[in-house]
Amino acid sequence: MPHQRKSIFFLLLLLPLPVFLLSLTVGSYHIPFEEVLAILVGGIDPHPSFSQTQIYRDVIFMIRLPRILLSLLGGIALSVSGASLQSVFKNPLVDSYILGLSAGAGLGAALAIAFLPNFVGLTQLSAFSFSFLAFMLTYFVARDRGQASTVSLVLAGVIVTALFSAALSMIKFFTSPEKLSSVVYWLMGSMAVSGWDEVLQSGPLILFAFLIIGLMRWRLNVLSMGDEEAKSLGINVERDRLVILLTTTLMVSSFVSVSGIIGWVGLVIPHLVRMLMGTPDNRIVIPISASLGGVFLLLADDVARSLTSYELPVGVITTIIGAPFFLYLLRRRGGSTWRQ
Amino acid sequence: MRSKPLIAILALVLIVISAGLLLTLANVPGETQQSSITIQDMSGRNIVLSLPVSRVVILNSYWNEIASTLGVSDRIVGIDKYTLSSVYIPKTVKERPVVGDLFSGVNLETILSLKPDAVIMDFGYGKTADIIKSLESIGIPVICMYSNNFNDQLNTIRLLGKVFGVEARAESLVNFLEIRHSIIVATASKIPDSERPTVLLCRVEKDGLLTAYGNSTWGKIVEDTGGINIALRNFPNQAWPKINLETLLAWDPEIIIIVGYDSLGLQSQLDLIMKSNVWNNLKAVKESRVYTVLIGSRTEGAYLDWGPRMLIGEMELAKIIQPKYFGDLNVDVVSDMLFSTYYTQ
Repeated sequence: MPHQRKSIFFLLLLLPLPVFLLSLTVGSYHIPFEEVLAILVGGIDPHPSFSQTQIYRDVIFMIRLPRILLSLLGGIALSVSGASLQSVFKNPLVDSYILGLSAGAGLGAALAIAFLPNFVGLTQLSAFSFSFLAFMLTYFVARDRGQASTVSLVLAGVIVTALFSAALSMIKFFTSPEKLSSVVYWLMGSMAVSGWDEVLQSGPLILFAFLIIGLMRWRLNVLSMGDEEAKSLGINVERDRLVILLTTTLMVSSFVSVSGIIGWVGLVIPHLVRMLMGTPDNRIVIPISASLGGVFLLLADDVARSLTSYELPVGVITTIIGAPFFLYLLRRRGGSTWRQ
Repeated sequence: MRSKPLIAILALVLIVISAGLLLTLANVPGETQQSSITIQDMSGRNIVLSLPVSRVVILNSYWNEIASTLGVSDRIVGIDKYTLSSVYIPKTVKERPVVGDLFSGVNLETILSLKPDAVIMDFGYGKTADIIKSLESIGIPVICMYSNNFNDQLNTIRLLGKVFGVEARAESLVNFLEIRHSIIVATASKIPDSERPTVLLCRVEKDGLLTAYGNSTWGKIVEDTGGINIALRNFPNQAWPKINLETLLAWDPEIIIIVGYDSLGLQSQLDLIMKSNVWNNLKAVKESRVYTVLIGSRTEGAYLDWGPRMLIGEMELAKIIQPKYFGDLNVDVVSDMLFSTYYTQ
């Protein structure tokens, strides 16, 4: 790596840290900056007899911290899976939703909202199972004589998405207005009332999947060259591709099941990273995508929770920022941000 | 001789002071007697509340409406998004910070910054389960509310009366509603089956399909007021079955009641019906027994809704369904009494 790129690499890699600290101070409950610092450092209590400090602690540790961690994890899941799949499919317009994950998660959530009792965690479990089911369907529909080519995977993904979306519309149509509203808002994506439970449910799975992708970042490079070339380099294309598909599905499903559908992160961030770093090398793109993805979703969620007295759906914010930004990127690069 | 008035004045002053002292002393134990109460909310949980409950966040418009009729609107410090669209809630309440809603979620930090003694909200749908869990994890008591019929409605009024310490006012409102409701139900129960018309209570959707009120609160009011709810009889387990024109023709109800949130909405439904030749074949259309009723809380004159106004809505339906038995009911007089007594601050 050239020297300049190396410094940018480390700068971007460390970016989540200041944004993390900034996010802890943002919110509709006003906490003076020095109080946040004091509470974080711990032990140093500026007003020992002040019961207000306990409320500050609750705000920081029970409300802000779990959401911040969930945003970081979600950003990692969405952008790393996007970057990986773009390599596997050799297609810059692919993100994790191409395999039918969002339609699966949406259908799972809607089924739970419409037909299952209102228990904490049940909707998440159903969304997770169905997005995994959608992926398995996509994969097995695409498989032909033991092989699933990228083209047939994309086509199968489109078909499964259409099928699951139709089933989702059917549920929306027949369910009561009250449940319909719940489904619609779930699809918009929000971490409004997410707490430690959600972090503990999805965090370990996302980190585990991220570790696997991280270990396979070199193989991702080889896979992105094309099947023939990859085979000639001694790579088991079919097996490695399945491992990456399964891993990305695992990380995205774990996150989407607790947050609802949040779009555009997986598309915009890897492109931005390739442009900033001037390379499609996954050994650089994967870690920087993780860091910038986390930063992007974290900032979007900061806006969602502090712009108004109520909550804005974060999925809508990522789209409002992401879509025009993507257009800008495409224009700047004369229609293509993909460089091999 | 001159000292007599002076003594009299002194005596008077003494009496006043000691009376004042006595009153104050008598009041002291009353104020410190109870520092907290335990109530059972509508989900059956026991909730401990520190007294007095002087700051609440209420996340449904109907509970905001009931709290306002109980005269405690000044204790509402935060509201949900949908409360803004109700015309039956005092302006001062609608100026409170909006903290979100039960479908898209609430801003926990905003709620915390309002320092509520309790949060009052529905449960069992949307994001309620997650919201309750989150609020309780940061130490805010949540009072879960629920209402599925008229009696539930009365119980919620009693419960809120207890929460706010205004039991007497709550009981007077409950009595007002209960007496009139029980007369209607008792009268209707004596109507022979042969005199009960088949009734369809519905909304005409933009695509021409109908959403009928089956096994829902308002659907059951149709039966309570002497009608046969044809949607409930056909779909006993569905709250809002959707039906098409063929089903409508097959049912051919004697009375059709179309509901809408405002007069514009009602008019557009009627326009849709006018355009359709199918409707002309219906008994209710031929006999001019198609009625419109305003529902919800978005316009003045809409009564069929959760909250005390439900009584007026019930009276409206009774007059339409059984004019022979309820034709003399004076909706205007009762609604004037309700509004002048309970909807003023």
